Amino acid sequence: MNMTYEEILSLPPFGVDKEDKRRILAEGLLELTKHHMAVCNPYRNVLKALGWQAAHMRDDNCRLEEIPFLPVRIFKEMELKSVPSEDVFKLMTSSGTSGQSVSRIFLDKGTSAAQQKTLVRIVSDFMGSARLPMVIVDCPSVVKNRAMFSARGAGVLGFSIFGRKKIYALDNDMRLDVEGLRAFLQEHQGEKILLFGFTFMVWQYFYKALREVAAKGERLDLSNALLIHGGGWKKLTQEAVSTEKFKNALREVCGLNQVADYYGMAEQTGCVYMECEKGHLHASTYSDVIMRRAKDFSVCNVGEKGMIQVLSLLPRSYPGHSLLTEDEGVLLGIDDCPCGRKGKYFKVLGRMKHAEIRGCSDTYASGI
Amino acid sequence: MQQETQKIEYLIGSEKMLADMPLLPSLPIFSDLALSFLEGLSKRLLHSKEAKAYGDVVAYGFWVRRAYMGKVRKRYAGEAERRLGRGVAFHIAPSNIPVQFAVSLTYALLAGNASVVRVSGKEFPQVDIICETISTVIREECPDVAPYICVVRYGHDDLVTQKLSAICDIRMIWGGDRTIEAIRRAQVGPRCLDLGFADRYSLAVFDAEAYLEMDRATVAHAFYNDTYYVDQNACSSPRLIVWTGNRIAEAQEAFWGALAPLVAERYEMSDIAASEKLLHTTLCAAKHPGVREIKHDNLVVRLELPEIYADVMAYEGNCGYFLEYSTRDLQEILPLLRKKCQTITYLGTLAERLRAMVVEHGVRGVDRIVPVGRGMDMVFVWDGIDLPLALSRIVSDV
Repeated sequence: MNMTYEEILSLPPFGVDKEDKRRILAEGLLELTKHHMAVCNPYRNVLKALGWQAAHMRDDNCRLEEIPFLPVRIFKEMELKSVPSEDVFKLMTSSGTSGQSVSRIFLDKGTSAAQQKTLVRIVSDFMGSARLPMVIVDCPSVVKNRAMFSARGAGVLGFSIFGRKKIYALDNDMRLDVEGLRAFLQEHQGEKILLFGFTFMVWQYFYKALREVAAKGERLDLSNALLIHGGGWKKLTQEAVSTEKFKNALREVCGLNQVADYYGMAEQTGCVYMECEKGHLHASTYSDVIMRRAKDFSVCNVGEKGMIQVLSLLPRSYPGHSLLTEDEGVLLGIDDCPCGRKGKYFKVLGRMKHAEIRGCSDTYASGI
Repeated sequence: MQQETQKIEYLIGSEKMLADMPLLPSLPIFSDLALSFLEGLSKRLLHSKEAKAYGDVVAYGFWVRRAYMGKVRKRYAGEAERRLGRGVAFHIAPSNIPVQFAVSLTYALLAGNASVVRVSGKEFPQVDIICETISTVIREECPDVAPYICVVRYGHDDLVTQKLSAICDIRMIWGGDRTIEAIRRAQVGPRCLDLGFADRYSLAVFDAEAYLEMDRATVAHAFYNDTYYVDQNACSSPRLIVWTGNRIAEAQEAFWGALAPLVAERYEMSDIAASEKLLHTTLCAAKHPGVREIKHDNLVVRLELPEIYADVMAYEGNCGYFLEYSTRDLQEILPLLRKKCQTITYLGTLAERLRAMVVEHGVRGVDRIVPVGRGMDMVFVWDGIDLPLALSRIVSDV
């Protein structure tokens, strides 16, 4: 008898041995695969085309690596859902920069609630279960339309549950509200504070504004704060801002010394991969990563660079439980991170490069 | 003009040469001057140590060799007395086929025109090698050809494009639909011949039994050159393979079985291509129940189609992604022979049947029907246009 998701969620997020975790995940993901095959026709067509048949995988002998995966970009190209339209409770979109197409993720109440609960289980392991005064490094308008979420809005709302009293650090023109922040910090002097925001926003609109404030001779003290940030390094890599530089710069300007990155995506909201004190990203009991070789999608060894496949027990209203991302990463180890957490821990190396290919087409128009 | 031309970098020629171009006398087609220049260029390229490293440069050098150009000249012999160039040709070369700028220049020169060629901002050693060699030939052997050749590089500057478009009598735009659209915002003169080489797709038709009689390694190499050699992304690279005749399953196994090791040995695939291929399969399969992926590894990915879908060419991939279809009735491919269809490569003795089908049905596409391995040939008829004729004008009588 398979465990229910409620039962799985009651297991410690980073305390299940690898064999047990493999079994629990494989069972759950196989069940999800069958579920989506039964109710989502395009998904069933794809698995048939790939030659995948559930009959080949006996429940008691299911290998995690054999769970089929879709390319994550499919959600930008077409609508895939495993619930009737009337049950769609929220449509979530990934935050593409303007002009790019965005992923459209259909959530029903059950999946949406499970996302929130899972996020709480995972993040509490890093920040404790007490809710903290919270500074959201974003603008209030990011969560305005609750029926149609951007990933940024979903992140802000999702993490808001960890906040006791909340302020937005930026106004709708993305300017730092220095006075508001100063007052908030004064009010909560001596308390631990949670800062949350998207990596690029934190750098561009928070750090840079704090630096200006510092230049005028005022130092806002955030040495009591924990910053949780995610959303990727693409833009910062372009500006040559490394993880190290990011952390050092923040420490220098406001004394912030607890900073945790997380890896996550709109297509698997809830199952975030949090960075531990040792700087490693961790897979929880409820999700996993598999690094695969581009040559043939075979599984990489520990330490070998590969394409990141993400697995999550959450997606039930859309077939997104097993996805091949366009990110590259390295598995660093399993169950033996010096931080003491069990499960796989890994590093994300960034987005795969779109290679220049030969051929006849476009030149001038693409700006070359 | 002054201000704009200052933004131009001259790889060959100068601002003054460009300014004088509209007043240059046109040359007759296949002029002695053009042929002796190309002969010099060919000899130097084929003897150059630097060029040896680049198969495409060598192929270009070989194409313009004297013996071959003499033969081509004979083909147009009846025309030579009364045809001459239209004037100035302005070429926009593509950024991802480095030697195409020289090919385009060659067409225009043989037709009797002066040329200003914009090469891509992306730097290629092939472009440098050919330009340096052209300069040497001009300096040491063929100074008279100098006023007829400018090769330039400039940024994304619409004003420069406008100026060059305004003075030209022929504009040749390579690089696909978006490039054509962007360049065409710049007007040309009322009598200018404006040629756009648009995005096209191509397919292959294989006679299974005929293939089984052929040498498998030879065919594999030939097919590799049409496809993987250019990341399967040239207009002429087949994306769909239609098998016909008897013993298809046997032929498929032999064909892909011979190709896979060659690809594994030679082809370097970018990692992102693996996920692109999976995306193509996913998109096509999601919409069309019954397709089946036949996988070797990610270097060779085949998608078997149970029927020819109207939107089938929307799933065209590259870097080794093949749609495959088997039929006893070749007429089934007719709906694919639309405007966008450029080349059919074939195995066996299908050329006449295919040509008859195209003509009989008056289809809008299919400009070339060539055996496997000849898809990337440098030729004088492209996209259905006989270039030496199109790029020259005829002085007619009664």
